[in-house]
Amino acid sequence: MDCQQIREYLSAYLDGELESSRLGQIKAHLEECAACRRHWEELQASMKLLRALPEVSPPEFFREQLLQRLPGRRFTPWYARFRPAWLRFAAAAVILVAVLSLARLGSGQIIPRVMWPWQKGGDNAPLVGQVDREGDDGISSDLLKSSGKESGSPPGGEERRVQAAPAGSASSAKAVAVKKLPQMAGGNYPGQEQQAGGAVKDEQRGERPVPAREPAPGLFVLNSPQALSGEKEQRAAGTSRSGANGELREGAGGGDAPGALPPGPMQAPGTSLPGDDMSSGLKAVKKIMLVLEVKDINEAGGRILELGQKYNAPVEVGEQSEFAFIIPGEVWPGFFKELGAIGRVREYRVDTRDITPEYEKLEEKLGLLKERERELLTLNREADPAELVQVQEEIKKVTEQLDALSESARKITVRMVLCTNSSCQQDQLQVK
Amino acid sequence: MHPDVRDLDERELIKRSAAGDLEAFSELVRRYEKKVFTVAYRFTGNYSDASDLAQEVFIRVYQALPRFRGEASFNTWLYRITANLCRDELRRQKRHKKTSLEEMTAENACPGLPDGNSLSPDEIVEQREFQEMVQACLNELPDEYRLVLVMREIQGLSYAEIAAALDIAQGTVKSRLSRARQAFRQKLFGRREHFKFLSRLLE
Repeated sequence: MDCQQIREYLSAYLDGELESSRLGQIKAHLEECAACRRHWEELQASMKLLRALPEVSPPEFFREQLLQRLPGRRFTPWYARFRPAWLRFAAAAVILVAVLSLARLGSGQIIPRVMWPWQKGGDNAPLVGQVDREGDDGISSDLLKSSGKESGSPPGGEERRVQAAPAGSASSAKAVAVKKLPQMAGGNYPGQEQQAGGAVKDEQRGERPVPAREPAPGLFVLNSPQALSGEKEQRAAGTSRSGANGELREGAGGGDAPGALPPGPMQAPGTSLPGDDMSSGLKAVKKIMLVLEVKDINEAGGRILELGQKYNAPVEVGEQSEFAFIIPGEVWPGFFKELGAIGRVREYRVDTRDITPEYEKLEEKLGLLKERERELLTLNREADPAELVQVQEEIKKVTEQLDALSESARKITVRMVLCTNSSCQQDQLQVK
Repeated sequence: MHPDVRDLDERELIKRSAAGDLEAFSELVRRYEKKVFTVAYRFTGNYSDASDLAQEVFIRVYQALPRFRGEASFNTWLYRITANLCRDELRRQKRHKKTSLEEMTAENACPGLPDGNSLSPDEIVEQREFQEMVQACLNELPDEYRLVLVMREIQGLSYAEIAAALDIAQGTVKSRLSRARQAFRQKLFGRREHFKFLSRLLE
């Protein structure tokens, strides 16, 4: 038997499962072969390390959750049975909070603006969440008013029209808004008026027949250099960070109770939001969420499905007039432009996750693996054939991961919610 | 007050649980949750999946308890269910080939054992950092290898039990375990060899 065969038997040898006929052979070989002896020691050590791993405690509320999940539960949960009343309440409160947090996260895809998890930084900081909701209330009623009178021209409604304006123009309104931020820090309503200046201008552009003619702001920043043309100066003017995200957040901020948030935290999420990666050539995964206001949801839905076919991006239809699809970044501007003919973009949000570090790490790993593979191939007398197979498997795996990463960076995941004028209002109501 | 379920012996708890007594079942879970969760965690490599899996195990146990006749010990029976569910999980994952980004970009933290100083498993294994590294190396193994290693080394199942749980021949268990162990050894010690090999070349 050669070393390789001997090593195959070491596992059974370790378990005492080796046929007695082989036993002597293995023992004798280990006596005389230093390499196999080391292999044997390492194998033993590996298993010892594995066995020595400590037990792991399940997460908090593991049992409570489990009892809730039991099918056909016939009894009240244990904590309701023998805990004092206040504790029961506490347990219920904990569950309620958990459910609410989930609801907040879960709703992010369908509910516009303020409820999106990354809105206003920290999706799970309770304080921020609370303030958020106050903001919601303010903004929801604002929106209700504004969308109710949209066709007219409500006095002092400029700021609201910003939200209804096409995303492209909304961004420039935002540019104004962000600059005003320090002044608004006190929560003074005058801030809104200043903002309105920018908004009025946009509104004029927004009234052109095809509202969303210009691609949305986040897009330029992300990955469509060709789309940059029209608004380059705006971007260059240092407003690139104020993508759609910030704009919407800002709109909510304007409605906030005075002084509800200090300027710092208020600004932070907006500025930390992604959308800056194009120029630096980073790899990033992009998600776009948008709300499209249409006249007839069924008709618009049909047209969106057709668009999906045209752009070779199969559209999935979800509940509540939600659509989702994955589309190559380079054709998204075209798609988006055509959306403008279907309806009016009421919300537009880009979420970007930088995956450059992961990518580089994988590349580095691949490099090491290939180096090892070369060594194994050129110096095979020392090499373990099993290792070569493994290294090659690993190379294949890492290459696939790299491809998958590149692929996901090349494409944009888009989620879209359709609403009619009245159902957009309902959405707002539901948010409340 | 209820008589304290904590004082009840296992047989009594099983009997009551089988009859739908959730208090008894809760106590039964309390006694075994750590063991089951550990297996699930070592197998899945992350808390969230492990938690789901471990809960599935206990749900299955709860459903099957009325049919538990006590031919094997409860412990063995529970471990068998755990092993079966791990296997099912593997099949499920294969069907819906997981491509979640989280997974693809999961931090590679299996650098292998540091080269140099002589190995003292007893000392080194106490370090949390080191334990995490061992788990990371385990995570990097092909799923079948990881499963069989967890069954053998963490659950302590026999070849026959593993064969039954995976529905494969004992001979297959033997050879798969051998390959799994060698692969795991390679993860931990491969780089050490690599460096030593290089230094030998330089001599």
